[in-house]
Amino acid sequence: MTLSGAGSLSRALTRSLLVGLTLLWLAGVLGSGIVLKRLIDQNSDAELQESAAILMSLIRYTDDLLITAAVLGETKSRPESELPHERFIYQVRDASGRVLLHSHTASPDLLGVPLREGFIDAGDWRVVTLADHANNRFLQLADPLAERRDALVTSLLWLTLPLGALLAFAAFIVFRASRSLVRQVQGTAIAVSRQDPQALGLLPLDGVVTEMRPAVEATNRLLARLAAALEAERSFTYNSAHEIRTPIAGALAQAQLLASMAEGSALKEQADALAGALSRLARLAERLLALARAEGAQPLADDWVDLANVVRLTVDEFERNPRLRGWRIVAEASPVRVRADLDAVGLAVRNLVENALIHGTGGAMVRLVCKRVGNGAMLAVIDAGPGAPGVEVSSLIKRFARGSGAVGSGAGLGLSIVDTLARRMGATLVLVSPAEGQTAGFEARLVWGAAAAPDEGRRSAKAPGEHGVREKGRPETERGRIDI
Amino acid sequence: MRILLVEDDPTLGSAVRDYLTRESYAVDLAGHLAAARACLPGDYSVVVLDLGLPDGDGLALLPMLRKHDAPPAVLILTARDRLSDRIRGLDAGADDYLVKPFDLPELAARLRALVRRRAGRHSPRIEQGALSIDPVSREVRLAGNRVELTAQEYALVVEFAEHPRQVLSRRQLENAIYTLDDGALSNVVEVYVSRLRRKFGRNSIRTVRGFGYQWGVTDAVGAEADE
Repeated sequence: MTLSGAGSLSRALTRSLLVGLTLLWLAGVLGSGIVLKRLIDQNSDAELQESAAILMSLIRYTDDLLITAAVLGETKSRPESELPHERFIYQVRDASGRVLLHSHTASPDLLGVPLREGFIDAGDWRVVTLADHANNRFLQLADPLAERRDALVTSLLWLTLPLGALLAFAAFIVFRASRSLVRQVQGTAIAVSRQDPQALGLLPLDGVVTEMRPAVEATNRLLARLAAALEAERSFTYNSAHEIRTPIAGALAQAQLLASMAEGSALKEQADALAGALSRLARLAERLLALARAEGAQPLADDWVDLANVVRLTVDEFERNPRLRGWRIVAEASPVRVRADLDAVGLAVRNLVENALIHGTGGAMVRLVCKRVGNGAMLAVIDAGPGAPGVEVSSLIKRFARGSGAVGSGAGLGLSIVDTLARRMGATLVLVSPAEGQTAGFEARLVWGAAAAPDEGRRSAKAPGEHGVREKGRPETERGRIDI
Repeated sequence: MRILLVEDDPTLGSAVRDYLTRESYAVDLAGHLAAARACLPGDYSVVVLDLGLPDGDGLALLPMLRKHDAPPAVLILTARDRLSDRIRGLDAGADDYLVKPFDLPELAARLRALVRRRAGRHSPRIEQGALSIDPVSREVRLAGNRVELTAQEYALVVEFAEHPRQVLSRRQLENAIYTLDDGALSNVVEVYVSRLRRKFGRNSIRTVRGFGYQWGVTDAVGAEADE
């Protein structure tokens, strides 16, 4: 059975089974009809022949059939209604074909029947011819074919009539059975559909029907391989980050040590240049590692993350940096939980703050705001710098893109990294310039379409079915704003 | 001030050690967890701790440090930059968390901030009577007059200033100026105390027999000054 196109498996199965059952039944009826017809013909022929033999024995002892016919002909004067029903008709003919005697309802069809012993169909009649060679007489007895047909049709009708009831009953049974089977399949399908794409857990094998078990087991093997591949990728990214950072840190530290030791000597300038170059290399490597991590395939929406916690930790991290002593980094955080990945949110916010520190010169203040917005949540990093001209906002997420007014030392990767992370977390990066409610400044906003209820997410770190996924529309430039 | 630096990368470790030594810290460098354990207990003010060590996770050292009566401040210096790593490190008891690569001046500034916080000071400057120390420029003034000091002398003065009115043992002062590798001379503290007295005044440091030295006493109190 081939199921083409979409539709209910149960309905298709029922339909196919019913069609098959009907065809099979009709074939059975047809076969029965053929057999029945043969039996009816045989029995009727035997009966006809037996009747003809009896009649022949009577006729054989009648000398003058013409006189008999005349006597019998008197009955014609009787009204038709008084005549008994005659199932058979007969005629007695001599060798020349002359009719010597016939039943009063003899059909003209019989006149053309040849004088040859045996059966023959003539018009609506089945005719048997018996010969009395001694008296040179031929008896032809006919039985109406319609009777045979009626018997056959009636029999076939009685064979066919139960088909409707049978089909209704079969439809009920088959539909019920198929529903039960399909429910098993649906159970597996629902288990697959409820599978958290971010969690990549294995499908449950409990309650899976035997026929579906190989498919589920194969799917689980694939999921396990996928999870292993993702874990390998995560480990590689993590370990390679460690392996790259440490030697860069060593080189940078040696260069800065050299610069400090060369204080007052001719080598100081070269040492400072070396340290500066290594610092830039370190920053670029840092961004590239972050980009590699952002573009990985690991799930990034499999946990509840308190945005306020991330904001506070990020502010604390930057506040400890002695180089930022002149800056004010302010947290305005209301507790709100979203489905995301703690490290990914942390990486995104850190990049946004670094971006604000690089480009937000002039204001010396960076605000980190997070709050619930409707059913969703937002986390914004707002600087008080000159912002970005409206036409450039949309291009800022491109890799290695830097605003024309950029004065800092950014690599042009920060917003691209954040955008990639946001997409993978089911969030949207919104860039606004000038910052909302300000005449200048730049605002980078991470927006989640769905946030946890105030007490949700505390109960379960991995509540299934909520990923905060929202549709992403086409970029729309409006007042220097673009939804990426 | 004595620092235990736990770092397995020799290039980075030696650079940090040398830089901090030039900043007048006494730095012991341990290349792995076992070596760090062997250094403890020690009179360290700060432990600079790498996490990815050849023989284990650096965080394993923190429970051991917490057993001390006066546990040192811990600054984690690691390549692990994830927010969850940072949370884990701070939750485990670290006081600060710095991700590699980093600037040495930033590391030094964070160490100063750590020590300052431990001492309950809000200003980076150390003020102790007429004595004023700027840890950033390492400028030391007495009653407004600049006093030129060697690295060891500076380390001793800072150690005294960080512990006002406390009697510091000879060992404590040795720890402030020498590392395990230096093989300090037996009378090195006396030599430097003598030099400091010449620069800050005869009675600037009082000898408390059987215990050690105390900073900031007057001539009248310092009648037992050691000569």
